[in-house]
Order: sequence, then structure tokens, then C-alpha cells
Amino acid sequence: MNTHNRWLRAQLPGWVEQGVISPAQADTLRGLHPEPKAALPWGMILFFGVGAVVIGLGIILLFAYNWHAIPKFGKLGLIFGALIAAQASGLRLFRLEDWRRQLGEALTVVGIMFFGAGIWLVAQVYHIEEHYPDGFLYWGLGALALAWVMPSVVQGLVAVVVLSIYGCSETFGFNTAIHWAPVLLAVGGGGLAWQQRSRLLLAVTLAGFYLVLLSNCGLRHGNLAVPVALNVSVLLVALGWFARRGSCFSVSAGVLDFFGWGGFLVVVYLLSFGSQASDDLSWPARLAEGNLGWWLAFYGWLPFALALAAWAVVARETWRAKLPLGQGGCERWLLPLVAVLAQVLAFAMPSVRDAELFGPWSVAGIFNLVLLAVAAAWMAEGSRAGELKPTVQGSLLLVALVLARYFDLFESLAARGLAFLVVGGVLFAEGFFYRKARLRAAEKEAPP
Amino acid sequence: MRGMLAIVAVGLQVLVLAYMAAEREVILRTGRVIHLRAAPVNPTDAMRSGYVRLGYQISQVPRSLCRDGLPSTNETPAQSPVLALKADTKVYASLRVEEDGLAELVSLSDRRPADGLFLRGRTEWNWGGDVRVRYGLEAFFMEQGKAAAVQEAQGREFRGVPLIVEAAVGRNGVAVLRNYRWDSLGLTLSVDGTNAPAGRESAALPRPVRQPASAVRAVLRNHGTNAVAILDLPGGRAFVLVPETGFRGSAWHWVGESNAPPVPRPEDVVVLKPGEAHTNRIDLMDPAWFVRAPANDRRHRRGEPQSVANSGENGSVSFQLEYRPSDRAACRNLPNAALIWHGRLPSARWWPNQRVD
Repeated sequence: MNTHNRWLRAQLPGWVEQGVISPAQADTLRGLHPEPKAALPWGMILFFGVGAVVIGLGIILLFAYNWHAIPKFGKLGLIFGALIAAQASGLRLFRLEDWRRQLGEALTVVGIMFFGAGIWLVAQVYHIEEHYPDGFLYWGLGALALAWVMPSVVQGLVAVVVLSIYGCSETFGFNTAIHWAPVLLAVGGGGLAWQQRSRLLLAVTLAGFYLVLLSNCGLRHGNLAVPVALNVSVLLVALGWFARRGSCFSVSAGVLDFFGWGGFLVVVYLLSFGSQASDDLSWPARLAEGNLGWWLAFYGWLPFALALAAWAVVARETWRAKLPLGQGGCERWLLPLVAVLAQVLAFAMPSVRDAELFGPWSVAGIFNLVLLAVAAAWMAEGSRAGELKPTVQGSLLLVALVLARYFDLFESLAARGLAFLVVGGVLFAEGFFYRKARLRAAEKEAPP
Repeated sequence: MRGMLAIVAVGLQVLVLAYMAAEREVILRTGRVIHLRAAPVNPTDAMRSGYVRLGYQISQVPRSLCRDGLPSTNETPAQSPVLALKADTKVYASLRVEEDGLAELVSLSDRRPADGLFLRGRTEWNWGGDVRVRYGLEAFFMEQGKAAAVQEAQGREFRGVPLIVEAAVGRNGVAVLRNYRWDSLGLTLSVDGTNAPAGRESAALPRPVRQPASAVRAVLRNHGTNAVAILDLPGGRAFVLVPETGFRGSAWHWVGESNAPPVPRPEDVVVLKPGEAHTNRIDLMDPAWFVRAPANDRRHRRGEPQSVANSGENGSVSFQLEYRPSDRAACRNLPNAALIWHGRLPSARWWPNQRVD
């Protein structure tokens, strides 16, 4: 948008000079399209941030190289001195305006790197070999506290990454699920992203949240990760709907949709495979197993309940505001339906499996149809409105689905050939209608 | 920016580091000093340069020494023994200082002892009958070259010599490493076959065929700077045979483990000057060194004494020899009694097919 604005403002003097428009009209146009406010210096932030991290690492390694030559209290003095100097100067500069603020933020990032390194260096001085994830926890909490009080998106990014490492090192290294770690990430990282209106921090937080949550719930029952990812994805798309309608952080809707739809499609794609669907939806069979049952109930139902509640509010708001159900795409209503369906199928799985109506495809077939419906909806929407994004997304989804079934469903060459003919025909028709819609749109935009 | 809160946030970071340093510094200055027998391995850390990784004898805890809540969680045959005891469970190892000045494990519990000498640790894994415990003393950081030198020394001039680690222990069981030194006495061994290895020279058999073990040559060497006396009891009885503990605590048993060693005589005392060595040949075909198969072993004659050579055709069972001289009281009237080395000196692990660790 800024590019168009700049182009318009560059053209106006010429148009006035050539008599195309009057100076008053030029002013009116300038008023309609005001000069955008100076954007955040992302390049500067990026280079300062990366530079700060690399400098911090370099200093740590230089100290490490000469470490043995420094007496114990000298080492401690260096650790504390570096931490205090970086943080104090960083915070002081951060209070000022212009480039000094960014420099201050970068220095506090160096400071937080010193803090993290300090934990391991003090451990080295005293030969401490304790429970190492605790080091990441203290480091992450230190960064998170600073991120909130400054406030700083870069510190928030460091905190989210380090706390994600903490959660994963507990699960993968010590088989311990830290149930509150995803909550801390969501509240600490997500809350700061909301407060600072930072899509980047929101995206990193959601990635960390997914990672820690799925490693937690998969610890005791690996297949549980799939239904949990499904419910969380469904919840995120609902949150994206709220964000889009709200006024405070509406740009977050794109990030929430990306993770929501992305997670949903990956999960449904996995469930579209016969044996995978059978395994991933079998978790209720072990609900009666003591501690494992509690675990399964917590992770199997809590995200589901939250997702369902969120979509109930979406439905109520849609009803109240008399919004058309198709607004934002009819296919989005498939998400809560699939979440409910997955729960029903999970509980019905033994009887479905015993019935052997269609073998493993009795369950996976439903998810194939869901993917097909989403692909068809996006392709139709893209072709009708002449929009490239849904057209491409729908086509890719269709091709991915057909390729998956190519290997496990269509056994005869005739069936495979027919499938390709049908898909080719659909894509051809889609291209035709898309082109037509673009021409129609171009005709509308053309001057009479 | 909330200035005061920012100062508090940074202050907390400083406090975390200060607490880590201060707790250890207090233990170093006021804690009880103990000595532990260890063996070094030498990894490196990308951020912290080189360090010597230490493995302690007290780190491998047999089930028989587990107390309080530990045996019940460890004895769940229905479950996999690996999962029976949760990794990283906090445990407390009660220690006793032996007459050689080294601390030995008395018991391991999940409850903190009310008094006495104890170390706080965390379980690493639990397999068969053993629990592996980490005491936070496993990393001795030093410059990269020095760490490698320690490892090299263990393979060359200090081969078979235990590393004696000095640590300070706080009242809460937290221990801090202070120093290390090599012990004065080292034990190395070689295993002889039942006869000349058939086919070793044959072109048709490029890999030598290892014959079952018939004898062990145990060499005790004085690596210190002062003279040390050792005991060479008849039949090699200054040594004991320690079979490896098998899955779920099953193990071969040495028939002589319940027999008291002979009373040492003056002629049994051997004085080793610095650098000198003394070799003991232990005849494994002698019934005094026979072993019994574990109760759950279906392949061997259970309960019947048999030669070590019969115990592990496939190399699955390993043994250690441990030099365990008579105690100070039994040696009081012997010549050079003051020089006699007391303690327990385990050998490397060896297998009946002559392989030595």
C-alpha cells in the first residue's frame, strides 16, 4: 500500500503541471491518501538484534577460550560485570528517543545473552552438573520479565525461544511434561504480542506453543498429539475470526489463520490415511488407565472444549449480527464440525473397526471428503472472484490429496489414469473460470 | 518503560547468578570434605570448553541398597524396569567414610536423611537391578588441553589407577568438586586362554579365535612417590571376583564370596617402591574361583559351581577382579604394616572370552 501511496504522491506534481488535475484536487488527493507514518526501522532492528546476539556469543566464546587463565573471582566479576553493564546501559539508552532506543534494546539483548551464558559459566566455575533445563527456565523467565517491563518484542522473542527449549528439553530429555509451559508461552509471549501488536512475536509464540504442547501430550501417548493439534488449530481459526472483527489487533488474524488452517490441514491430511486415522483416534480406549487416563482426558478434552466454546461464540455473534454464513468462506464451518466428528469417531472407533464396513477407510474416508470439500470451496471461491491465493491453495490441496491416494487407494493403472484425468480436467476448468473472472474484473475497472 | 520494574527484573537476574555462586562458595568453605573414587571420560562442551566427565562407583546403585520408597518403585516386574522409576527423581545417598579415607555408599533413599553424611542426587536411568544416579559432581571443568591430558593419562601412565576426587558436601547434600588426584596404586590385568589360540596364525581365519579364559594376570603397580606395601595371599585371595549384575538383579555368584580370606602372614607382604609392580596369577580353573549360574539362567547348570570359561560363551557375562586386602586390624603385626595399602581397588571389566574393557 505504501508503494502505491508513494507512486501517487510522486505523480501529483506532474499531473498538476500538465493540467490533468487542479492544485486543489491534488491537495484533496493528498488528504485522502496521507503520507504514511514512518514505519518501524525493521532493518535496523533486525541487524541490531542479530548483531547483539552474535556479539554476545563471540564475547562468551572469547572468555571461554581464556577462561582457565582467569582466577575464580575474576571469572565471577566478569560474568556479573558484563551482565550489569549491558543491562544498565541498555535500559538507560532505551529510555531515549530515535536510534538510541534501538541500540538500548540491542544492548539489553546482549545483556540477556550474558545472563543465559552466566548461568552456564557459574555452573562451570563451581563444576555444577545439575538438571540443565532449569537453566533454560531461569534464562527464559529473566528475558520474559524484561520483555514485559521494557516492553520489548526482541526480548519477548528470546524469552519464547528459550522457554520453548526448556519445555522440549524436559519432555525429550527427561520424559517430564511441564503442563504449565504452554500456558506460560501463550500468556507471556502471546500477551506481549497482543500488547505490542507484533505479528512476528505472535507467530514465534504460536510455533513454540504448538511444539511444547504437542511434545507434552505426545509424551505418554504419541497418537494423542494429532487430535490435540486438530482442536488447537480449530480454536486458533476461531480466534482469528474474533481478531478480524476486533479493532485492536486485527492484523493478527492472518497469523492465527496461518497456524490454525495450517495445523488443521496437516492433521486432516494425516487422518486421511487409513491406518493413521485408526491409530490417532484410538486414545479413548485407554481412558480407564489410571494416570494415563487423566492425562488423556486433560489433553483430549480441554482443547476440544475451548475450541467448541470459541466456535459457539462465533456462531452466536454471526447470528446476532445477521452476518451471512458464507462470509469469510463457508468452509470454515467445517472446522468445528470436524473437531466434533473426530471426538465422536474416537469414541466410536472400536465399533467402527469391528464393523469392518470399509476397513480402515470407513474413518479415513470422511477426512478425505473434508479435504476435498475445503479444496473445492477454495478453488470455487478463487475462480469466482478471480483471486489467486484461494485458487492456488485449493489446487495444491487437491493435488496433494490425489497424490496421497495415488499410492494407497488407486491400485489399478486404469483408476490412477482416471483420477489424473479428472483432476487435470478440474484444474483446467478452474484456470478457465479464473481467467474469465479476471477479465470481468478488468472490464469493470477499465474507464468507460 | 517502567524504570523501577526494569531494575527489579535485572536485579533478579543478578540474584539468580549470585545465589548459584554463593551457595556453592559456602559449601566449599564450610562443607565436609570427602573423597570419592572415580573414573574419567573426556567430552567437550561447545560453550564451556573441555571438561572431564567423571563416573563414580557410587553412581551405580544396586537394588539391594535402595531404601524407603525406592525398592517399591523399582520392583515392578509387570512394567518395563526402565519406566518403573521415574528419571530425574530426587534421591539421597547415605555415605560412610572407609578406613582408606574414601566415601562408600551405604544406601540410597528418596527421603532426605535426618543426619549423617549424604549426597543429594537425581536418578538417570533404572535398568535391571541397578539405579544410575547423578550427583551433580560428574563434570570437572578445566581447559581443553588439560582435560584431554587427564583422559590420555588414564589410558597410558595411569592405566588402571582410580582418580580420587575431593568434594565438599553441604548440609543439604549438595556437593561441590574441589580437586582431584591419582591414587597411588593401580591395577591392570590380562586374561589367558585355556590353550594356545587355534587358528590364530591360519590364513583361513583372519580374525583370531578367542579361547575361554583360564587365568587372569593382575598387576599391581605403585604409581605414587612413596613406597607402598601390598598383600599377596595364597591362591590370589587378596582379590575377590565380582560378576556383573544382570537384568533385574540376576547375577552369577563367585563360590568364594562367603569364604573369609586367609589371615595374612609376614611373607605375604610385598613392598613396592615407586614405579615397581607385582603380578598375581589367578587360576580360573581352580575350583576356588568357580562361579554359580543365576537362578533364572536356563542355559547353564544352575547352582552347580563351574569355571568362568563356561559362563558366557557369547560374551554376555562380564567380571571384575577387586583387590581387597585384609583390614588394618589383621595387618597390625605384619612387617611394614604402616605401608600397607588398604581399600578396594577394582579392575577393568573383563569377559570369559579374554576381552578386557
